[in-house]
Amino acid sequence: MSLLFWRRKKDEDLDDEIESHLKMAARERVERGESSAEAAVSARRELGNVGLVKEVTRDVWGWRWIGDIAQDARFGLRMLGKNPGFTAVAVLTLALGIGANAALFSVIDSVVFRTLPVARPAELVDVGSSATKQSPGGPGVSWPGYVEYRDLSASPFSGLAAYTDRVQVTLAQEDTAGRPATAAAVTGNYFDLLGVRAARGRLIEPGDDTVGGSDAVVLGYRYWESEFAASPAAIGATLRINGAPYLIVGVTPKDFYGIGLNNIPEIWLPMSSAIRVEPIYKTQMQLPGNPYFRVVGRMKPGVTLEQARLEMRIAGEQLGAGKTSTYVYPFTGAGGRKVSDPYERPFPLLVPVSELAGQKWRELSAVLGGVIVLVLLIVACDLASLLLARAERRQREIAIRLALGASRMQIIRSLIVEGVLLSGRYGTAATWIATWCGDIGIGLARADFYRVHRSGDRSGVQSCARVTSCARRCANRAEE
Amino acid sequence: MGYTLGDAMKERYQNQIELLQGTLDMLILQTLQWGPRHGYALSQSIRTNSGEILKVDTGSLYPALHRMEKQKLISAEWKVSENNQRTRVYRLTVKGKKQLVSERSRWSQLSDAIAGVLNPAKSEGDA
Repeated sequence: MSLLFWRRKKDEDLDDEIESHLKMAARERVERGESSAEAAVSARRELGNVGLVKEVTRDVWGWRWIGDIAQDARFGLRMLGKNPGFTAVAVLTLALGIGANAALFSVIDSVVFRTLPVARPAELVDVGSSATKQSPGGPGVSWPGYVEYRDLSASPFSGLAAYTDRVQVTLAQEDTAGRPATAAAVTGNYFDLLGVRAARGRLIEPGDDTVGGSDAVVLGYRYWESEFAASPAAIGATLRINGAPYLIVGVTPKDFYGIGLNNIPEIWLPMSSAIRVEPIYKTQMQLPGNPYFRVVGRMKPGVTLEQARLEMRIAGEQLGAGKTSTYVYPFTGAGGRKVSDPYERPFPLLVPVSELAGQKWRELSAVLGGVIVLVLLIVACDLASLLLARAERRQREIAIRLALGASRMQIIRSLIVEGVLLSGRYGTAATWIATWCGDIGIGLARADFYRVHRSGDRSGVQSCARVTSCARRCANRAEE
Repeated sequence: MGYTLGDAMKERYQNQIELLQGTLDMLILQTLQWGPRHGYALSQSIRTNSGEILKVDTGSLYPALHRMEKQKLISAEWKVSENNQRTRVYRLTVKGKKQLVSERSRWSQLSDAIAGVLNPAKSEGDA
């Protein structure tokens, strides 16, 4: 700012200096007998092109480009103001295209590009089930299957944890009405295995995951921020889950949403409490043919993925994988008959956690990304033809500026500055639209994801919108 | 061709500065040795002292003054003249005095050399 003031002061000084020169020259001519009007004209003629003299002098100062760009910016704003229709159409067209892109980027950014906030993520492996007659295979292991893998005498893993991140609950504080939310239920070793530390208080520990469950609950950081205003007093307070009181013992770190990232849990419970919160888990945990739980393992140091796969395949075979067994349900059917089902034991399926995280969003992003690239292309063509039509009409203006002594570089520079101004405008508009579209899009996809993103910071989204719009403007100018 | 018009106009001024640069600087420094003065007075002094032969183009004078000010060969301050006119007055600095001495010796070498070329017989005779 002070640099601009300094410039302005110097400019005024130079004006004064040249002005005083002209006056003195004119006065001398008057003294020599010329009329005052005649003297002023010849003094000016003697000096030459006043504008150019000043400009060449200013060149000597250096830093001239600052003043020039400020001047171009003023001119550009006037030109944009003169064509409000064009400006509005251009801004809207590109803002819509870029905004949609940026909204998509905010989703991709959080689930695809950011590495998981856990210790040594490369060691983490998702253990799933191979395809069987009953199931197509993929992430997820039945509870009895998890227990068998966990209790293997020789394992490539230093630990195995199970979790589910889609327990639907109703949450209420003592004085508020309940609202639906997504909870995660994790085994007691989950956080320790991932190497995640509490932002406040403590996380779920093995002591919480006991038969019958405990009353401990851990808040997700966002939930803590939005419902408890990030107050330390939340630790030790009571949270009602489906009406029953639980004790808040801690808060997860800020960027931790679990490792599945398909659902974004707001609270975390010990696995054993899931049965109390949602009685269906009692049955889920007994069915050996139902790969309902996600399992994550940390490979022992030095064990490669191939080694782990081989070891787990052998272990799976020993446990009867690939063979069909019969499962007798723990309840009786009509007439007291036992109900049983044949099922095929799956092989364990090992995939690095980083490959699976947010898979649902990645698949969606790929499709939407294709659509949005097409939309952007169409938008760019529209705008390019708009700009071409305008360039045609501006030939006259440019010819006049050249005749008045503007150099080719100056004209090009002022056109670029004008372009940057225009892109700045739709960059801003695009940010609004991105925020808006992002919320709607994400909200449609999944209510819980929506809540995370509404409160999330959008600096990444904004810079994406800005960068895209600038790049596009430069490309357009180059075409012209 | 119309595109190059602006550049050509500007170049004319810049070329003149280049052409005169060494000489004009020396003339300005020399003239300021007799005391501080403003741009117009400078150009008039140079003109009168050269017997009306050297006319300093304003388009070269002010860029030169500002450049020399930046090089700290001269300093400038605002003064109010006897006609109540606000003028920018230039003054020689210590660095400028040193510069003048070295430019003068360079100039006399140059003019001796040119004189030698123009009057070969005389210099041969001397030798």
